[in-house]
Amino acid sequence: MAQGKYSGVRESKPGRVNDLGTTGKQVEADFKKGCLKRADRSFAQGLQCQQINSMAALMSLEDSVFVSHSPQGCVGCAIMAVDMYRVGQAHRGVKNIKNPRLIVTNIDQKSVVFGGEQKLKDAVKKAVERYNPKLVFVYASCASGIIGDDIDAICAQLGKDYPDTIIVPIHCEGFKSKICASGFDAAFISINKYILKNQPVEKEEGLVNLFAPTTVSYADQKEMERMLSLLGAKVNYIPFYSSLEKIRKIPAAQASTSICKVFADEFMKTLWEDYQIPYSHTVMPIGIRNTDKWYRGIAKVIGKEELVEEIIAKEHLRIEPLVKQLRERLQGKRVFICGGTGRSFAAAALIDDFGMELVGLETPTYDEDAQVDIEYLNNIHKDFVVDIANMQPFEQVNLINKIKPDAFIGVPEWAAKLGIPTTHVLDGKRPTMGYDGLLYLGNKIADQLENPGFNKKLAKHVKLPYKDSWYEENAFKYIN
Amino acid sequence: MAKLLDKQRYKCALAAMQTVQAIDRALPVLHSGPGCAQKLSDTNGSSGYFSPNIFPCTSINEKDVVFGGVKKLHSTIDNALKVIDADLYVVLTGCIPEIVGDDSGEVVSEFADSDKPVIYAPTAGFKGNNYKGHEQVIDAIIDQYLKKSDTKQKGLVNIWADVPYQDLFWLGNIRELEKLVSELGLTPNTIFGYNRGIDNINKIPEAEFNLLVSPWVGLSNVKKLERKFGTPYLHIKTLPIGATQTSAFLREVGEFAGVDKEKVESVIKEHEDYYYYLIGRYADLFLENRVINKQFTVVADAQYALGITKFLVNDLGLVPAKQFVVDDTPTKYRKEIEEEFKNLNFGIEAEVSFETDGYKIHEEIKTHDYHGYPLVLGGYYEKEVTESLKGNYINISWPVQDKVVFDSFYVGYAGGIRLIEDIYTVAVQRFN
Repeated sequence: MAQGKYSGVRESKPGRVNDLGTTGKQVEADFKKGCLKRADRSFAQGLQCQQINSMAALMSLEDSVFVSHSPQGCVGCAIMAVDMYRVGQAHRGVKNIKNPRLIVTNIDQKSVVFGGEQKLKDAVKKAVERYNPKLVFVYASCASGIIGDDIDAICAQLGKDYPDTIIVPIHCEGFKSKICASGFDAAFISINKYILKNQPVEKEEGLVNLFAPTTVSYADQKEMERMLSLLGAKVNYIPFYSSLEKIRKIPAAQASTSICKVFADEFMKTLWEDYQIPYSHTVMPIGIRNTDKWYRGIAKVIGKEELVEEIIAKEHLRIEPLVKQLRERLQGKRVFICGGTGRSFAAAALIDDFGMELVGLETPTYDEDAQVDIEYLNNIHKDFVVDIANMQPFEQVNLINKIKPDAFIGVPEWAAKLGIPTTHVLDGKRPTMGYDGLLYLGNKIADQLENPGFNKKLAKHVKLPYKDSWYEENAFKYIN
Repeated sequence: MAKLLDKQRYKCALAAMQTVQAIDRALPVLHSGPGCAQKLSDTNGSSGYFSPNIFPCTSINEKDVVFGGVKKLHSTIDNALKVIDADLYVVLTGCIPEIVGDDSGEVVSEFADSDKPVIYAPTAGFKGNNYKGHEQVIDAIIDQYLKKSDTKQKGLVNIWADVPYQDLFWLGNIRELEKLVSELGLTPNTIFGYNRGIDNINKIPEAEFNLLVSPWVGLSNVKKLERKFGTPYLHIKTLPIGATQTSAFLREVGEFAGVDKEKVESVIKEHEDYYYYLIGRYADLFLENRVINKQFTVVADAQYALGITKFLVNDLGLVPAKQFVVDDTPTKYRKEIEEEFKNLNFGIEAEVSFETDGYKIHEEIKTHDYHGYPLVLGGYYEKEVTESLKGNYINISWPVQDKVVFDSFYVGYAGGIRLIEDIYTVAVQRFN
């Protein structure tokens, strides 16, 4: 039973590091020798916490209420989830667009002293009385974790009071992990433990679980479903915009795959152990090379290796002339990339389609998976800087100021203020993935490079908030 | 006991990082869990010189929970002073250090001799919301930074209004309040927004009086300023929107400051003439009862619930349905604020409910007879319920998703006109 062993904290995996300043060549060699050490920063800027990921992963499930057992600030950014959910409904043609149902228990000073368990009971009671949901998700927080509220016991008790509602506790206390993707794992561990419960389910021929995180747009969903249906698969698209019924179908599938490398990767292992469902864990399908790799991965698992080659050949015939046009616009440009684990490496592979050169890569963690990608990238590109960091814009601007890339892909705010043309490969509302997404991305990057006017003007008039002396320092000075 | 929140309307005390952010070149330094800055940020004009991802943060981990995080806090402040170029460093503590008992104040006191001031406000999320956090940051500035001034500057007025970023229109509103006050011949002093910052903070003790324009937020701060510096204060509870309230505002400020009555009246006349020139040109829009119905509900903090209710009743002749104050106004202030809702023209009284539970608010909106399609001015959560009633909806309070505001404002004569534009721009796009 994997869930018994794996805590959901991604740092618990041996060989995975968070804080590191290095280069592509160096990190490949160091990892091989097993001499990467876990470090920390004596100065750092804010991160994203795993509770956000646990919430985001499930916020679009039908007939659900989300209870945050926390002080009032922990859902301070809920409006982003509300917006994503509403836009997602609009794209899917939903007529009466709903808000997600979100309740905060509002842990206060008294709860800190006497415990907040009563507050949680009241909140779940209200959730059930008001919305009559099939599912209630209870999210732990830093505060609830430290004061020691036993959310598992409370949820179990409430489950007896409300037999028609499944009450699912999720252990996503922010301080437990610096890798926000841990929050995905926490959500899946609970789904397995409280919904699937290792019960046998009748198999459905041709059914494939397609795990998708919040940041995947409807356009991408359709592209992924199109590709899988060409292989003759029926897609169970989860958990984004899905339902309890679709979650219950997970064990009925013949195979599983995920759109993101750090989403459901551990869960797919568990599904193999508990239900013998084979899975494909490759890369994020962004760019030709990665899309092919992702596509072949799942095709192999469902025994469609020959068919997938035919389809890939056809898709290449269609796409390559269009990519060539893009390459003419982008060839030789030097790029710095910053992103989450899945997207940063996917973007690094993508730029090869366009003949661009990688000069810097910022990504939150380094592990076995990253090593595979780095080996590939080292074969294509000259030595490039690698910053293993969850954001840390002060390091980023220090590096960019020295490297002076032609383009930046990632959270654009700071590179833009240095006048570098910027673009993004994370767009939860528009296309990014698969063969069609590639063209959309390429055009987006090329358009941005052709008119860098906004960023140039911005750089001329606004200043980043660092002292001049900082730009002279080693960017990795505070990693120790 | 803090109530559970279904569709919450505010954030926790640590969101006072936005109050700090609104002070030019003041940097919040967070001693908190890893995700706090991101969770407490908004995308409403937040990518300026300092933005939430730039704020230094100790990002407390499991080890710090057990052994305490004071060492990490020390190195974070120390290095923030070296790396980041700010005029004022404000350390804010989140839930974890206050539960595990880190003595953050002690750590901050070790920086008393640094080149730039470092101060500290305890803003644990479980201790209260960001209205409280805002007051704590101002208190920290008063207690730990400001020094008594020997001189008072004639006509200098500190203006205090509602909470930056929590209030979508904070920047435009405070600028317009400055403008109105300066038209009376006074010199306004504010600390938020472009080009104000530390120099203006330094001037606070020199003011002749503090002007607080808010139903309750900041009252404890101006009282503290009175105790510490002997500066008297004028508390105007109603945010002046439109002609009726703005003229009343100018008269009250003028009288308190001893401005010549004729001067005050001439300022008012000039504004009202232009205001009614505009209103007159669009009177047909208001008089023809085919565009919007008469009844409205505001779901907002006390400042907009009260300010907009007075404006729509007194200036536009609309009729108040129930109004909802959602900022968890402390009980001691409620009675007086409730009285203000009864103080409307023609003996009209608005029913008001201090309610933080969005579910209950929506149930009441759904069951009220608005005599037609409702007009609802509220947070983004009210979009769903108003759409289900085919009503007209405007996003004026937090959370905000439906509106982009740079420095637009609802305060004053011009602000009233802006609000009318916003309401009717929505109304005319619809088919009811």
